[in-house]
Amino acid sequence: MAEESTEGAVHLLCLTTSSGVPLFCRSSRGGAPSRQQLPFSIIGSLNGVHMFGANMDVTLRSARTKDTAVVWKTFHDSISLIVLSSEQGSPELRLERLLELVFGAMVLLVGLEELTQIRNVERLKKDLRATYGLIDSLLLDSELMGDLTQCVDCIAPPDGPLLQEALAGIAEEMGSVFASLVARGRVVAATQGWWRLGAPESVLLPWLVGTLPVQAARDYPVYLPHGSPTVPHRLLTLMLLPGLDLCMLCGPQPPLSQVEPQVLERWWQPVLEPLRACLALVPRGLPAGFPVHPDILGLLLLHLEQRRGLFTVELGGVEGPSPRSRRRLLRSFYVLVTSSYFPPGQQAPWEGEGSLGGPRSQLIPFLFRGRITGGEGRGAGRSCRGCQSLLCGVRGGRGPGGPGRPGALLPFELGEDGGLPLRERGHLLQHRGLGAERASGQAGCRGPGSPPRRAAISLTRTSVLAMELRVRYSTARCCSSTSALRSWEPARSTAWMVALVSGNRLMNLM
Amino acid sequence: YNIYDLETEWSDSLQKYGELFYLELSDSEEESLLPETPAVNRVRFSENEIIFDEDYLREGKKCEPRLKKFSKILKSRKLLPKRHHKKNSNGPVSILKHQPTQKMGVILQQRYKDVSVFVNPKNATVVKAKEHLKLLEVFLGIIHQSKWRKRTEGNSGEKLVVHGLLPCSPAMKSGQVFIGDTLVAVNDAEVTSENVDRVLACIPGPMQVKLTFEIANSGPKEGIQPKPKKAQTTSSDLVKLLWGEEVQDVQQNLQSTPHVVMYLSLQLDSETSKDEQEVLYHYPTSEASQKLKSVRGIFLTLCDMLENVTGTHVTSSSLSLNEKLVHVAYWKEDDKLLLIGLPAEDVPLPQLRSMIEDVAQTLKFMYGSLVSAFCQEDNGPRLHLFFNLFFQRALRPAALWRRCGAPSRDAAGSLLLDTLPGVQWLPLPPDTQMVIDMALSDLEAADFAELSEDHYDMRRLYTILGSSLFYKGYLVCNHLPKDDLMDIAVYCRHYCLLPLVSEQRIAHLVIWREVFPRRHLQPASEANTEAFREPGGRYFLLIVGLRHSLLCVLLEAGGCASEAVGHPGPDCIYVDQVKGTLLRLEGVEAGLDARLASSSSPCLSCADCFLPAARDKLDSLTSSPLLTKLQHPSRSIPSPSSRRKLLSDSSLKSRKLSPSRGGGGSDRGTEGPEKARAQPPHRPDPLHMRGSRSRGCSEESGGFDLAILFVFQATKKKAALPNPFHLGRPKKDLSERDTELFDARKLTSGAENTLFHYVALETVQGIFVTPTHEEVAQLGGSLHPQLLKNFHRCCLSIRTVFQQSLMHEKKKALRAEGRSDPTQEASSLAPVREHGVLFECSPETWTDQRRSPPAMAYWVVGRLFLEPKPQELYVCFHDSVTEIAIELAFKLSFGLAT
Repeated sequence: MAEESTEGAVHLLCLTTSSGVPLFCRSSRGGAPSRQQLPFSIIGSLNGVHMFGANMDVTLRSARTKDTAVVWKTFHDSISLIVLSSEQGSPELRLERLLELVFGAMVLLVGLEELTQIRNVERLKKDLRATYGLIDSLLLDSELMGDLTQCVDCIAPPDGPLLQEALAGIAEEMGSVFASLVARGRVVAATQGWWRLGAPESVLLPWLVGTLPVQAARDYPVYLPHGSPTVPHRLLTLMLLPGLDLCMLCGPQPPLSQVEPQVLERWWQPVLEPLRACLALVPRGLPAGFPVHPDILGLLLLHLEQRRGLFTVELGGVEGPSPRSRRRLLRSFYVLVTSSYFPPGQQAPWEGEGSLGGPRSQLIPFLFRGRITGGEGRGAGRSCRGCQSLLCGVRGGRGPGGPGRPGALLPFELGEDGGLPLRERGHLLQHRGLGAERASGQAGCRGPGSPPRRAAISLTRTSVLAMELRVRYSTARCCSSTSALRSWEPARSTAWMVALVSGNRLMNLM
Repeated sequence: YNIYDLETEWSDSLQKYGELFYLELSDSEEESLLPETPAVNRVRFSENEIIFDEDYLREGKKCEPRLKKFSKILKSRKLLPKRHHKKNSNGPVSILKHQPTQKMGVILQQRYKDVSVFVNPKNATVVKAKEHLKLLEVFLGIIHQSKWRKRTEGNSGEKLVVHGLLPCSPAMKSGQVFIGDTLVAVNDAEVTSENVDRVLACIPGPMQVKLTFEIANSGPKEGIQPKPKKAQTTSSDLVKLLWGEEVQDVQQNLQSTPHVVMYLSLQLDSETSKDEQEVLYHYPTSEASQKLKSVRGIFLTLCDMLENVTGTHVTSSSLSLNEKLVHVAYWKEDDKLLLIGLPAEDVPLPQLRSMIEDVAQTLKFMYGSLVSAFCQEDNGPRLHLFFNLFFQRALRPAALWRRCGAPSRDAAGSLLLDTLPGVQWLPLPPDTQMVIDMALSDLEAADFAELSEDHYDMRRLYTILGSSLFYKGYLVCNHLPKDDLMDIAVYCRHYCLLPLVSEQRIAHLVIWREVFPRRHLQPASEANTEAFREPGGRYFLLIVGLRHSLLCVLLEAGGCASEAVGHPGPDCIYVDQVKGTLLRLEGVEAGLDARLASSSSPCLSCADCFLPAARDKLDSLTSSPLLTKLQHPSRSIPSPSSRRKLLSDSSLKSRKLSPSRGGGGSDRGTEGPEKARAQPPHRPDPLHMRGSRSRGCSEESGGFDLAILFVFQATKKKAALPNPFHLGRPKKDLSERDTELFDARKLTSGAENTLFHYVALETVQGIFVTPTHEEVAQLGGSLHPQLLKNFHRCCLSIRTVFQQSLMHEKKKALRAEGRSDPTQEASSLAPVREHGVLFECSPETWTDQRRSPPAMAYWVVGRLFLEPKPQELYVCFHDSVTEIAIELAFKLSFGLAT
């Protein structure tokens, strides 16, 4: 096959581990679904090498060519997933997370039992068709980030407490502890029970709701890959506004027919305006009153402990790259940083054995900065236009400011030497964020189990990741003297992109 | 003129293809090795003799080649008793076995003893010429008064009883030869007073000699007990590896780690379906490696299939083996596949890729192509040695560098520095540089003495293309194009020559081999047929080492020199001339050592001084490197306690100010010293005060001025001053010459020197500059080595990002010729130019449970330059001052230029 045809293509193969029968095969190209599939012989040999290794007690994990990566993964000794991706910047970390999520999606809709004890392959194939929509959405360009960060995509509504109250009320009346408001795949508000959902389903359920065709009400059987992989639950969705669904997980009761329009009206009519405001908020994610520097192009904010995230690239600025490429930039930056500096499930490579001994001693990468400059200009050789981005992340080891000091952010306090303008921006953002938290705490929207005070006390680990992207004009030229040095300096900065990852309860935007 | 007429030390170790690898340690090194391994520390290794050695090892004997050679000479001159020839064709056997008293085994042990001494006939000949002494005295220092002996016994083949020992002689040094012992054999050749001179005269060069003595008193003496073994001199491991000896503990450590190298053929001959016919080479034979070999089907299939699917070669794959992640890198060439597998925890994937590239390049440099490297029949043992060294370097880099004790040579550090496309360069003062340049130019001109064509009136054998000089592992002078330098550097790296010369004084090292430099073997571009084309010839690499210097010379046969016929060995004249050049440069060595000992520009700071805790404790004041240096010269102050009080006072007062450390003027960096010189030292300006004080340290080595300055500062200005102990280090070397040559340059902006470490890579010239081990060692500190370790690891990952971005750019440039794709442009982080990571660290040993340990934040920033010339810079500096990497890079390159 020619090189052209594989540009940016992702192929996902699913086979049974024991017999190697292909169950399905999904492909995408350049972020759009594609019908072009790998030849059967290729599928066979891709699975064959993995099986051969497994027989010899060697597990093949991944392989790479110059522009393509292949990752193999077997689940429960029954299902093998293979992904072959030639997208730029898709190292194994992303692909492995993708495979885990795909398997989670399969369990979500088919159930673990069906997948581990395969009696009829043809029937399983037919059943798995139901998952295509969800799986395809994972392969394609998405506006969400949850597939990568394993955190629930959220938005920060201006009237969070009101919505929260209404949600809690209706959940109680319906007898469900798991209820949430989902706006185009993003969670607006959810009950404590919903937030306690385990890792794959907490991301997958809103994602699923976002990908299903628009309907006024649904009664959808789902297995929870983490919580109950073998016993199905019912996912009830009720459309409150176009694009805004109320989701509830229930047992056999109550039937959908019992959910009367009156109930809905009673709870949601009073908060109709806030609901509308939520919907309007969707691409931006942040309330309009929350000022963000116009140079900030995109924002990623992760709450690692609560596993919630806020991801937006539409903050108003029109200059710079398109939202789509901003999204991709931020995604690839996240992949770069997490895979090289914060590997999942373990400490950063330099914190490992041998480097430092005692438990107290840690070298922690807590700020990350990178500048990315574009290639040479096409026009005149001297002045070149490129885009430069500055990335910044913060991760404190053990509460640098000490516990009990809300907003004790060491890295931002360092900003007093007037160093990076980024820090000031981060500082600003941080204050806003904390302000939001305090506001929500006072309103008492938190569940009874977590008083707002605790949020501040539990500030033990902080982790902030920020990224700035600015387009800069510089005249870079051959330099052989100090005078030329000056011309290397960035002349003008026009746009910024900042992404923040917050470790613990630094910011409670969600 | 035939070179074989001339008997040289190395002429015997010449190989079949004219290759030579002759290594001889200096006497002191040799003797330091003695107690540990009395029999195996002979200093010669030659590639063909590995097989020979292995035969011996199989028999459980460690017999050194030189001993064999000596015995051979003895045999050839019929000095060895004949029975040895008959009974032992394998080699000499201890004469003790043939003694009549064989039954009394126990007593035998006590009656005879073997003593190994190091004999250097060359040292001795001078003495010999003056006085007509016997060789026994000259070589061994054993005094035997035969006349007196004759009178009493009167037979000609009398016993050689030790009557005395010469001071400082080998026998005396060994400590095991006593008066009254009787020398019965030298290297198992029986000796009497008759033949001893003839036997000793056969000692060809400096070597270990085994002396067998009959002990005078058969009762065990305390003095006979062998000396307690010294602490292992670990460097001998490297030497042993180089000699191709099996170092048991070293080898066994690697057994458990899965590592493999394979060379597979992709074209299978279906007719001869032999088992494992596609495996052309495989090393080592450990269990994990066998396992990896058994799954070679995976690699072959992946290589074939992924190329079909994606159109690009497969570069690597990862698999888990015994729950260990192993990366396997691929190198495909000529329908053959070279695979190297190493565990992920030891070697990250990007480094593995560059390692396999290096391996392929080195093998091509040595053998012309991978096929000829792996498919020549008798190459097996050499490749075993090659890959043994390779895996030792990859998996246990610290072991090879252990003796250096340099903190910068941790695993990550050597990984980084070994995979950089360059060699570490040591910037020198111009006059030293000029002397070296001239010496090398003289050699390269080859127009004098025996090197000139006139001398023999015939075409010269080789043209010298260029040479490069290494001193203690640093490149000090290079007259070679970058590609050739890289080829040679990679070769030296693989054979660990640079660590070898930096650690040990070598008496003599001669390496000669035909090489295939890539620059000369690339097909000439068709476009410019008019342009000058280098003559196609054959190329030879000659490396001569002497003490800590290594001179690499690239020779060309053909072209304007005469064509090489067959496989010529090293030419004595060339070897001697190169050696002569090294000898000529002997005088420079002192200067080089001084350069290494002195801290150069730019100055570095020790990380430990930046910890807030260091200021809290009074005791820790003394551990601050600045202070230890200050205390030394300021001995003239009457009472040390008052001084301490003074210092601690000022330091405590200024502690509160330390967070705003970055407040100083930013432009004072380089011009500080000059300014200070121009101004009176007592001007009450804190900034200038500081400048002059640091100047005071470096200019006046007497302590009195210093003390005054301190007093002055402590009494009047202390409140306004930032912490005085956080200044950049003053220069250690206080000699005026050096001060002029190397103005202490500060790289970072701000009042203080916040630079911890740096690596600057000049891709064009194939060199990089980083602080030397000595500099790092001078800094000391407990935190600093950890910081360096972290710095190196971080640089590895930053460099990976740069490599990827360069790759993308190349791809984009290719694509731009066809069609432009604006959507792709911004969708990846492709053109990364600068990448920085901020770290926070705290001391490892923190006993105070109540308080949290103090923390210090520092940046590791990498910067990639494409214009004006490709350059990479990695710096590590304290967080207090904002640095712009470009500026640092410029300062650094200007600092180096002077």
